[in-house]
Amino acid sequence: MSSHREAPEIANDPVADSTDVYAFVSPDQPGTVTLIANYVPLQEPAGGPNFYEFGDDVRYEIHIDNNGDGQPDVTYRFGFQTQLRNPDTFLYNTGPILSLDSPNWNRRQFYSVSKVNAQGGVAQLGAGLACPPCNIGPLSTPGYPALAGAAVHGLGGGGKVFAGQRAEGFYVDLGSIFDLANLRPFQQLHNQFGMNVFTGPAPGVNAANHLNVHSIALQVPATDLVRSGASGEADPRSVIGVWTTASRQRVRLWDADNGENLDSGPFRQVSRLGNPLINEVIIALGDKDRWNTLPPAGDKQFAHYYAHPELAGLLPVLYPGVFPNLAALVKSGQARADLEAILLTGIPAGIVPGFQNSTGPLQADMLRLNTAITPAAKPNILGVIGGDLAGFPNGRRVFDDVVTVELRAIAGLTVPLVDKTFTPDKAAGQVTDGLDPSSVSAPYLSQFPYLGVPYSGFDNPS
Amino acid sequence: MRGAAGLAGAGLAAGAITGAMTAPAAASSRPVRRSADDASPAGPVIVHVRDVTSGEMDVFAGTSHARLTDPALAARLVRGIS
Repeated sequence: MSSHREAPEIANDPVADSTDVYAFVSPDQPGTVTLIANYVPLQEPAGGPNFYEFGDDVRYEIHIDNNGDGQPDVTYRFGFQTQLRNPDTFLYNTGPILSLDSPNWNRRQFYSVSKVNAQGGVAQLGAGLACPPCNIGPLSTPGYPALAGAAVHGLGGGGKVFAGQRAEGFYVDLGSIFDLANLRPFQQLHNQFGMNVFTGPAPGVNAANHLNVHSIALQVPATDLVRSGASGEADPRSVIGVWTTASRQRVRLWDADNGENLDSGPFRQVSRLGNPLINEVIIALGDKDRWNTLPPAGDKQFAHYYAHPELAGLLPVLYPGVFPNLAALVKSGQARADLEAILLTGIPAGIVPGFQNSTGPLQADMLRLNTAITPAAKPNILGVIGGDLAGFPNGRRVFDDVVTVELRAIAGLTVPLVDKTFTPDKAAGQVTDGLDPSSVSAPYLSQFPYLGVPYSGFDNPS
Repeated sequence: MRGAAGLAGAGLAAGAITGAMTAPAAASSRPVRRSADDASPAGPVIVHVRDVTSGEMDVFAGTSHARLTDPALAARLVRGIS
């Protein structure tokens, strides 16, 4: 998935597993930017009695680079604490939870949020902020949207924050992609390793549908993020780079006498995510865990994965005769400057008319957002390649079809941005896993926190 | 002797467990565990003897870490679990 269980070590640590990060100019609050970082992937909604929660022992952070050095200039830091009301019951709740301070809710979670500047100075923005409960069912969590709505907290200065369960908004046909990239809409064209199982196309299947995730969502004035003086779409100071991390203390000791883990020492990063799907399908297995521990500033060492993505070489092999121009490009050994620009430096002015989101020459995997580009009145889920400059890879909105965008880019559709002599294969403009926002059963919200109401355990699976 | 890995694996992350959970935020509730946001030195102090011969040790407390070299102390710690 975007970054769900994408590396061997973090796959064993779901509460610290960054799964998706979104950054976009808020469509209903255009002077603000919304940042969303998701963790705790693939939540089966009925997974009680110990329902999903953030890790009290994990430091969650959303970072913003506004001067192109791949280091954070602004960081929002989140720390959680779980409170247990009654240790003498096995129940998460002993009756309906009608409010965030309901006495029926036994295991609650609270958090603090701080803003850290480039020099490491920390200012606390909020503390003791309540998370909503997980969506359990009509008896335990009636009126869930209002309950979760009460967990949107003001931060002052025009900011707001939410941390808690949401419906998974990322859509992807995991089953097909990891079955040797057998994309269902084109499965009859797959070489099928000679087995000839599929004779015709089939619609995609959203493997993330009816699953939940835990979101940290923040909405702040754009001026809190950009360099001072930023003015207009053409101004490089309007562009920010965004990534999220999770960190743990260096030492964990199992205190068997008390049946709990004890943590000690400095925090060290164990997960990170900027552009979607990078550590998932671009970085090789041998480097995934290390990639998760590093800041974007050092990504030059991984640039060869972007310049020569493994998937670009596989597509012509798996789909014989479908990608001849891509095959020739791969065979030539030409570095994919288009992918390096889109994912590592941003797109400079003069490439896409009226658009730039470059942060300069340093190669760093960040989700780059030109904060001066206003939200589209009629968004296109394919973002910039669909003619919508307010969508991925100019930041990322919750409904953007990043799987299709990246599949098409890797297949060669974006090569002409940097090489006018290259003609993409016809299939490069068509390849997809066959999904769109209608593949997500829980509708996106038109207001903060934008991701849909989580699926309830009582109703899912049905 | 390069015994650090084996010793650490055997549990010579010698923990002098001190301090307690922080006070509950609400009278009727108690924290399940110390929050990462409140990693104070009052938590455990954990020593990892990296190399018994050279006495190289990592000491962790709160969010701090120090590397010490003290062969005599390392030897005493090893004797303590022998």
